[in-house]
Amino acid sequence: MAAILGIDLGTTYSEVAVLRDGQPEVVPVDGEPIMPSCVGLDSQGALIVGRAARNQMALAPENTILSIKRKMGKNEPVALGERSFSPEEISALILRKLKQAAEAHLGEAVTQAVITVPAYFDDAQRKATQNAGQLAGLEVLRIINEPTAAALAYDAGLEEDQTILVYDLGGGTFDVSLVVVEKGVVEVKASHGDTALGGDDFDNLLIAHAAEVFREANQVDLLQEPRVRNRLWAAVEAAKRKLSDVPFARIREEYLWQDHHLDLEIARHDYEELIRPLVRKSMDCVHHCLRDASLLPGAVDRVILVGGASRTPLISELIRQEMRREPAFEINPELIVAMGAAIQAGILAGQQTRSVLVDITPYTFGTQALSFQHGEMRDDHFVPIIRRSTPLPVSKAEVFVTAVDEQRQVDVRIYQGEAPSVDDNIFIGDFLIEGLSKVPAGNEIILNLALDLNGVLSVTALEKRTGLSKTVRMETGGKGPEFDLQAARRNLAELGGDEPATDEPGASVPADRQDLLTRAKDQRRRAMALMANIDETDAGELRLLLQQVQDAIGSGDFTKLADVLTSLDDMLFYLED
Amino acid sequence: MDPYEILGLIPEADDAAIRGAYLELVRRYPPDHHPQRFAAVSEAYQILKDEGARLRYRLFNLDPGMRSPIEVLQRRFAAPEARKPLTAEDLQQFLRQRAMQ
Repeated sequence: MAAILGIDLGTTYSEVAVLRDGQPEVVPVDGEPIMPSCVGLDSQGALIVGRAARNQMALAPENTILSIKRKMGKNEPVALGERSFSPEEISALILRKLKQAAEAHLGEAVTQAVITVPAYFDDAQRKATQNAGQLAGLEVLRIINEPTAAALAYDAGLEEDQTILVYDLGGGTFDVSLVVVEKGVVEVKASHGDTALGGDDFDNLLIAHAAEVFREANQVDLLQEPRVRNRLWAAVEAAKRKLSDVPFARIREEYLWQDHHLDLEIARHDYEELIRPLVRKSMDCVHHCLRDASLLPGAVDRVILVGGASRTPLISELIRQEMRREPAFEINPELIVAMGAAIQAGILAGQQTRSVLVDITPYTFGTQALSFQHGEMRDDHFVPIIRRSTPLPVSKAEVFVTAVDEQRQVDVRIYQGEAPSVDDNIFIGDFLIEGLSKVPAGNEIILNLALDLNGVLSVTALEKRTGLSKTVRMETGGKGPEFDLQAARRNLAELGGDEPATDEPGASVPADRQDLLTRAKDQRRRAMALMANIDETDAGELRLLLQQVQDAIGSGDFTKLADVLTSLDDMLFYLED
Repeated sequence: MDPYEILGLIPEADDAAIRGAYLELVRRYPPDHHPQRFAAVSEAYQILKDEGARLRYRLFNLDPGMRSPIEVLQRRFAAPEARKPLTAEDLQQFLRQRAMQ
């Protein structure tokens, strides 16, 4: 039987895993377990995905797309080269690359997958993820929540019953889930989160900080220039990682702006003060989740940290303080979600019978109705039908009545959220039931809401006295037109890269580029070391060559860069001698 | 359908017995392979899972999801056919419990 992939489609990184002999195994992509969720076009216009695309980020920001997950479920096309693509299409390119890597690894074709999404992803975002999978040639058997997947993977190595809190801070999204593992049942009790909070936001704060320091020193606003901003981002991101291990990190970028350098030391303490409000926000979600599950922090046996950004020491510190538990990192936080997805794939295939997963909806779903409150009629009343924290799948019905005599139609509007007024909740979609009987007000309409195991909603409305009904699978809601799979396929086909054969040369070119960039950096370092001990003529010539290197990198002209580097190398050789 | 019947329990069952029966049935009817059966089991469990939920069920025979007592009472009196006679004792117990919360 063909393998089913477990895919963690992340904001900054994606991973793919398969179950082998009951054990989840992460499949390497381009030789690495994690692949940047990055899509781009190289200088020849060929499609590149993953590490190669990420490597050209600083050089060709206009030809590179990162963090597409933040746009999923929105009708916001992104430009790549001269064409524009939907978020689903870009995500499909990432999924296709993961699929190809898994096929190469397994030596067989793969057609099915389990894909993870943040627990707090809404209906439109889940559907967009399903569409992306389909577009990549994968039948998406199940969408599961990231923290739930992590709990499944964690449970696989667990003997006793436990209450676990999963704190999942990825590149772009944050989730917290409370999971009870008891007698082989992995049961999610409550989930909370923020789909717009992640490690990317930490980077942005650091970028703004570094740019401000630079602006004060040089009166230049670096953030206006995408290329410079991307170089700065790469430097800042590396410093952020370093700060997880050491108390100080240095951000150094030479010739960041013309002949101005950036040289900035940042203390972990200052960094933590920058990000503290964001981490605080995540901890508020943790407490909210505990309240939803009616649990006190003391009832939690373990806190597991998931997602690269959860390595931030400040997070462990706050968890120690507020949960009185030492957070656990027993499985690599970047890989645990993909591994859990692979385990769920195994459960679906019937290979894995150890655990049964019971997940919930983190949102309340309901409709809008007329109501009387304090003697006044209001039309913004939100009537909850499926409550948050209800286990999936679920189907609930509620009876409504028509408000006026001979009312022939009803506009059914569906919302998700917790607020008493629909205006404060998220609008998911609406539809019209027409042709109702000509009867006095009070005609009963039964509205049924159902959430499937993917957390995707369908709605049925039925006129009780006639049986007239209408069923709708809520499409992308108020956010845009319906997803057109065929059109998306054509759009991607024109981009090429469908056959692994055309993907290969695309991937090899940037490797050369990377090589050139490393050489450029190395030679610049050698040149700077010499600068103080050579006469003015030589120094002038050296500076000229360095400027040419900079220009070549700036314009993305790698042929020229190779030439200049050769001359520079000759000159350095002569001077060092 | 009667939630006790779905879980195979007597009406005197306590928290532990209810939880035990629920976990047993979830393992037997996992949501991935028996979605409808699972949904029935899970709904029955939500109705009976703790003292408060059971009391609400006994009093109003209603969905345990509703959190505010006002909402429960509103539904109770709005319902065209009252499903069960309310006893003064049950109502007192319910209000006492709410007051404690």
